[in-house]
Amino acid sequence: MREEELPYKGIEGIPIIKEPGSAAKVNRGSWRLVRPVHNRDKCTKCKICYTYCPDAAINWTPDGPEINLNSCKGCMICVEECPTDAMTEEKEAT
Amino acid sequence: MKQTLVTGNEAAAWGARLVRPNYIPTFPITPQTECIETLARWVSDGELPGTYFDRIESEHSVMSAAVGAAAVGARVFTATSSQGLLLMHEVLYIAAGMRLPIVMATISRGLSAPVTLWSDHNDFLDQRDSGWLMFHAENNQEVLDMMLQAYRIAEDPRVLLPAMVNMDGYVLSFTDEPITIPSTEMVEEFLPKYIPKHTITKDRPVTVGPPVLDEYTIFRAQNHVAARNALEVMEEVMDDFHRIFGRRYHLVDEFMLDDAELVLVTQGSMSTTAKAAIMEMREGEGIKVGLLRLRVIRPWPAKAIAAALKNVKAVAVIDRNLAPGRGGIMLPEIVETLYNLDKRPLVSSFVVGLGGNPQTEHKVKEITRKLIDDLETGRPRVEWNDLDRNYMEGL
Repeated sequence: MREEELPYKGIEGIPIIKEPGSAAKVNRGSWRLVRPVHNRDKCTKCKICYTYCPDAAINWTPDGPEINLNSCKGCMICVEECPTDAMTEEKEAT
Repeated sequence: MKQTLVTGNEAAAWGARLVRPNYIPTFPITPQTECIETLARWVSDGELPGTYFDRIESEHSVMSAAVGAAAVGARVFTATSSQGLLLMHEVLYIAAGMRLPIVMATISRGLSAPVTLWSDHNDFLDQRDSGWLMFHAENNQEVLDMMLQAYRIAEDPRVLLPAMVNMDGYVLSFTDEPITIPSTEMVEEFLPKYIPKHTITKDRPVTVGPPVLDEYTIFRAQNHVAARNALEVMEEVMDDFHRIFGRRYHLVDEFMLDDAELVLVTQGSMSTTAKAAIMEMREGEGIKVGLLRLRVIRPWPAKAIAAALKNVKAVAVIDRNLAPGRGGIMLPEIVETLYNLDKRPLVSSFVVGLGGNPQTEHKVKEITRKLIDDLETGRPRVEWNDLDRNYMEGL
């Protein structure tokens, strides 16, 4: 396309997402290679995984952590930090 | 409307005061200038009701705060200089990409190392690919006038881009010049209230500048088209400015070009000295020399420049800046603009005035004489006009 043919789209040409919270509808964990798996028996509910998760992918429930695999990128920081080995690493099926 | 004596810094501050910005984020420490000091004084004296003046820890954060405020629809002004402008660099692209009409006064000063307190244009020209509209003033009146024009152009729905108004440090920023400060009524007639249409509000919680995949090129192209649109908008705005304020501006400043065979291409405050030298050379020696001053750097007014230079014999591009290993920054831009003309003038390059090295009438005459030599020999040159062999050998 020649430069002079480029249309001007006004405010439609400005990078804006108009729908609030639309990221929740997208699977942001699709490129994860490994996933954390939680073992309730070993968990002491110390909340370390919950505070350390850099992407807020761990929700806190009365029963302990709940991993949101739609958001988890598989960084394994929770596995590294868990003092009781309640979090373990598992390969994603390819 | 009143006549008064102000520095370039104060002229920029007056420009900001007249447009009534909602928000002025500032980094208050060096290399900041009196421009912000003046505004701070007015705000604390209660002369700028409705303006929130903010002190922030670095220029990077200042521009980030400016982006945030503009993204919720505020009219924003800020100012910086030299190293501070370089620290803002990353966020300048974000402001342009989000199409936020922020206006900033920049006060050109040579970059470290070594440290200089004086002016050259490297800090300003380093931002030339950031997507901002870039204006360069010649004198203090033009600083104020360009500020008003910059807001109107930046906020135009056909443009929606941030704009930078540059002046030379020390030479303009610290020098008193007589200027006319327009009345608030005139400014209100010229510059309508800013009604943002694409920003975040309480009822419209949008995401501005999100990650994209395939659409990236589309948004970049829109940034480009918006900047190109600005050329047309500028001409309209300058006409309207003339109607209301009586001062006439064009995309490029042409001086004695009607019958000129030789043309000096300049930027900023040295143009005034060059114009005086040109008048003397024309009267005293009958040399047909003229001047073209670049006042709009981005978007590049290629048509206006080509039209002004199409019938001349030789052009001296005078760069008060340096791309080491390349030469003057504006030289390739001018050469590209002239390359496809039917009859191309000879183009010589002059690198001058780095770190504030004063550009006297004498030096301008020297450049003109060297250009005449080049025309006679048919060989263009790249000349460091402030350095001569005796001086270098004596070091």
